[in-house]
Amino acid sequence: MKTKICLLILLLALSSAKAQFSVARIKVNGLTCSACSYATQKSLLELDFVDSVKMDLNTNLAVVTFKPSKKIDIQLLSKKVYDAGFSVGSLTAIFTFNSYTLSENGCFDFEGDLYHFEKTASQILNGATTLQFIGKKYMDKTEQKKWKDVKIEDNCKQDKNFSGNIYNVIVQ
Amino acid sequence: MKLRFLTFCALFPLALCQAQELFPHADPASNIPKGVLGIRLFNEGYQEINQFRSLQSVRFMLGLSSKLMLTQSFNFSNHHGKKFPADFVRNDGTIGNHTHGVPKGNKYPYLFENLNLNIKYRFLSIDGEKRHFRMAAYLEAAGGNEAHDEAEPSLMGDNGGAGAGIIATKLHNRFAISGSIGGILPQSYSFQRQDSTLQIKYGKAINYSLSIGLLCLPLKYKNYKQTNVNLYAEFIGKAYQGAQVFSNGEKIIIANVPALEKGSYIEFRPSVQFIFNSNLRIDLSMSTPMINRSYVKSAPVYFFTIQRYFYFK
Repeated sequence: MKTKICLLILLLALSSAKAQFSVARIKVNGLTCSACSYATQKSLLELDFVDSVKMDLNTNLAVVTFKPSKKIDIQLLSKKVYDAGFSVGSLTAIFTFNSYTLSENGCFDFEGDLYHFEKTASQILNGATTLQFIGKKYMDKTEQKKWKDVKIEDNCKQDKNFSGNIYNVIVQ
Repeated sequence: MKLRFLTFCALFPLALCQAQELFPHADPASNIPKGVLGIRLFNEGYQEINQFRSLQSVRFMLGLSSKLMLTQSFNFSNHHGKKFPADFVRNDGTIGNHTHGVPKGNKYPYLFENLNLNIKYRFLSIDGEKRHFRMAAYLEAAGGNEAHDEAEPSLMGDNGGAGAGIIATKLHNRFAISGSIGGILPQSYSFQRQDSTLQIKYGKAINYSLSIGLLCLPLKYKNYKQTNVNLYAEFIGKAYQGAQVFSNGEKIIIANVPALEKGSYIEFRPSVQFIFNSNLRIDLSMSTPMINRSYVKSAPVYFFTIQRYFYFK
């Protein structure tokens, strides 16, 4: 009986794991020098929801970890790379889902922003999931061409008062 | 066979280098990051007959947006007197014993020369992994009224005036190349001498540059503290009209003074650059004439530059 209660508590704790972004990986394009990487890192660190940035100076991959209590704005991550004078080659972020039932090409609301899943079958999203962001601000020109016809499905449309960001994502 | 071996020996170190575009002389099409202040202390010096001539420039570079950059340069030098001597150009077109290349016997004072404001807009960016092609346009204006005694204008010290141009920079793994072309409209200079008012109109000019950069060390990055060593070869020049001199509005025909005649030249400027802690930059450089020469300076000219970026957050 005691074991069952413990298991139940554990299951409850797991099922109520807080839905949140934890880490983003940004491939930064258009640079070769460490001074350029440093400028990009400094630019990303200006964001109040960014906890740390680790740049791989040889591959120009930035691993950005987020502060758990802050609202994450993925669009600002991209903007900060462009502000430093460079471009985003690809951007992925790890999101911890809490048993979310996603319909085919469905949407997910989180902290006032809308995440539209493109080319995604209906499924239950649970635990740490890597989302790849698609669109002009989040990928290089070659990749953009592959996704140029992306549009938000009718079942994702928000009311007129919606003022958050709308992101197109795929599950990696 | 021997030639092949020598070519291999010469090119092998280059094969270890990667592209770099932080050119010591020409501006690349890329800008300083938004909200970042860069300060550059630029020193230039050369020996001219009886004295060492030097120019110092304090440059503030500010990233206004990701595409727009403002540069202010305060230039100081001992290149000019406070005003021209009375016999700078006599009414018969001859000059006194003072033009460049002629022993002057007097030391030139160290003075503030001019303030140059430059705004650069990057209008094209095609970025890829470790590569980009970028283009930018710039406008510049310089305020100052110097007793500059050569036809060739320079908005970085010698003249007031305005200028504009475009820059294209290509970075591709092991190769960075940048070219620029621009125009200079210098301000004229007037001064009062005993019998008349003398006005000198400096030549309008086209300025051009071609720069190549290589990142040689480190071979593989480990951290930001590694010192970067970069090598550059730059070809910088100008083509300018002859100066015109007027006495009370009447043109004086100048008699055989090369420094006041039209000209064009290309200088070769090799440089080595050290970047410490991915921020503090030190450039060592020199220039030597390649095609014709500039009458403004005596070759070889030596350059020493220190630059650092300041991040406010």
